[in-house]
Amino acid sequence: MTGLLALRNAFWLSTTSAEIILLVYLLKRRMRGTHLAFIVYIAATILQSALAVWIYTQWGYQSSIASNVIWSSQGILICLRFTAVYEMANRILSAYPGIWSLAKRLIGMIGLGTLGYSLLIAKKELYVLVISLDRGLELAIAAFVVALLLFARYYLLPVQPLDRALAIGFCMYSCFYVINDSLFEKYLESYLSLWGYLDILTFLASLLIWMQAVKVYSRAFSPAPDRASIPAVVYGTISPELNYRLKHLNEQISQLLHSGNPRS
Amino acid sequence: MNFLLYFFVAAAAVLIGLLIWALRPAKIKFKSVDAVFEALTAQRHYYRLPQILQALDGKDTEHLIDRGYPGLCRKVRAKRKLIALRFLDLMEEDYKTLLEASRMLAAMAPEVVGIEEWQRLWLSIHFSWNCMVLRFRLRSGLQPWGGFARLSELASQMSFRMEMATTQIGERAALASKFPSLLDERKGQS
Repeated sequence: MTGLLALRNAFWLSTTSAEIILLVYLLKRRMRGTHLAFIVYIAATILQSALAVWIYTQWGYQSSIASNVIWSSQGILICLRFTAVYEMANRILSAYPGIWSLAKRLIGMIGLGTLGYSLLIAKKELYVLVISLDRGLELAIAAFVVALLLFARYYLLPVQPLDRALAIGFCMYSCFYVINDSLFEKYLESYLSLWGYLDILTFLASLLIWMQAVKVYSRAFSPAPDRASIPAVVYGTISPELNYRLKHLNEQISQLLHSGNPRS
Repeated sequence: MNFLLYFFVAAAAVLIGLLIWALRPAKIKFKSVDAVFEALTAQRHYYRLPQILQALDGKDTEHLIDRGYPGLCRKVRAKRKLIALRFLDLMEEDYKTLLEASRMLAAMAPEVVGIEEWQRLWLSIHFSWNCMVLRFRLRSGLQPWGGFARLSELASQMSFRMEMATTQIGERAALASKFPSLLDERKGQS
């Protein structure tokens, strides 16, 4: 158990170092204009680490003050992570105003629905309420990211490699967090040390993905891709016609299926 | 308790799977607006339907049996069945082209209609399923090609509607380009 705790602390140190390096990369490459929310989120993770060190040295690991402060900071961090994810969605889709306005509503609904359902089926006992909320939010973020990428793929929109890497990092971390929280909820005390260790490890993996992506792709990043546009009237006229064509092809195929002619 | 654990682990696993699928690079057929319009107005494979219908008609090969060549008749019919399957593939390709063109248009439009986009997604799922079943029926010798005849009528009908739509766009675009100059002229007169 002590070995695992020491290993966790070592990983914690590595994670904080990685966060600082990533922040330096982001600032040095002047990405404030395009990735402000992401920069704020990474800065907040560093502040949270510093806060945790101070709180634990002052009040110890088991105190309720430490627990309340850390969980509150975790709440703020999740909100900042969601802001960074929303900023990424904005970067990918805002160049396509029609799709972006539709996606905002749809992806938002998917996120909210996921959060709502997660909370609805979660245990209502006070001691796991924070974990349930935390898990619901993480699942909502992961669903948001996946829906965003599916949307981009359906409409054949380009996703820059940097945003792709950010999406992978956000989604993988959130998904592993959900699994980790669910195991913790079931096994509680016996899983506590491993829970903290796995949490740090998965976040470190995300940080490494982001660091590599910022290092390699930030120079090639162009915030607003060139795109052709058509007047609203063209979409308004062609789109129903296309649907008409597709619908009737479908109907014909259905009729073929049900024609049932005898064998010739 | 176990349900919660299994549910969340499964949900996370599904999301990871979808993430991997969504990250695969998509093949983009159209590079410009012109390419989209070209695809929309181009002749589609379903225009060849009359020939396919004739090839599939049993009466078209009956004369071979009458003349005492049942083996050859079977061979010809088998070949023609393969052609029908190939035709179905091409129809599916046509469908995909139309879908891709519609998505490209949506990406270029300043606003899109959610219901229409949803309807299109639903139609594409429906079409893929129907094609799969039809292919299976053709392969298993059920020969469900009586309904092919309606496709021919549909093809000409749809072609007419599409031409109407593109003409309308052309007229409106011409009007839009004239409109500012008309306004300028009025300003000059007042």
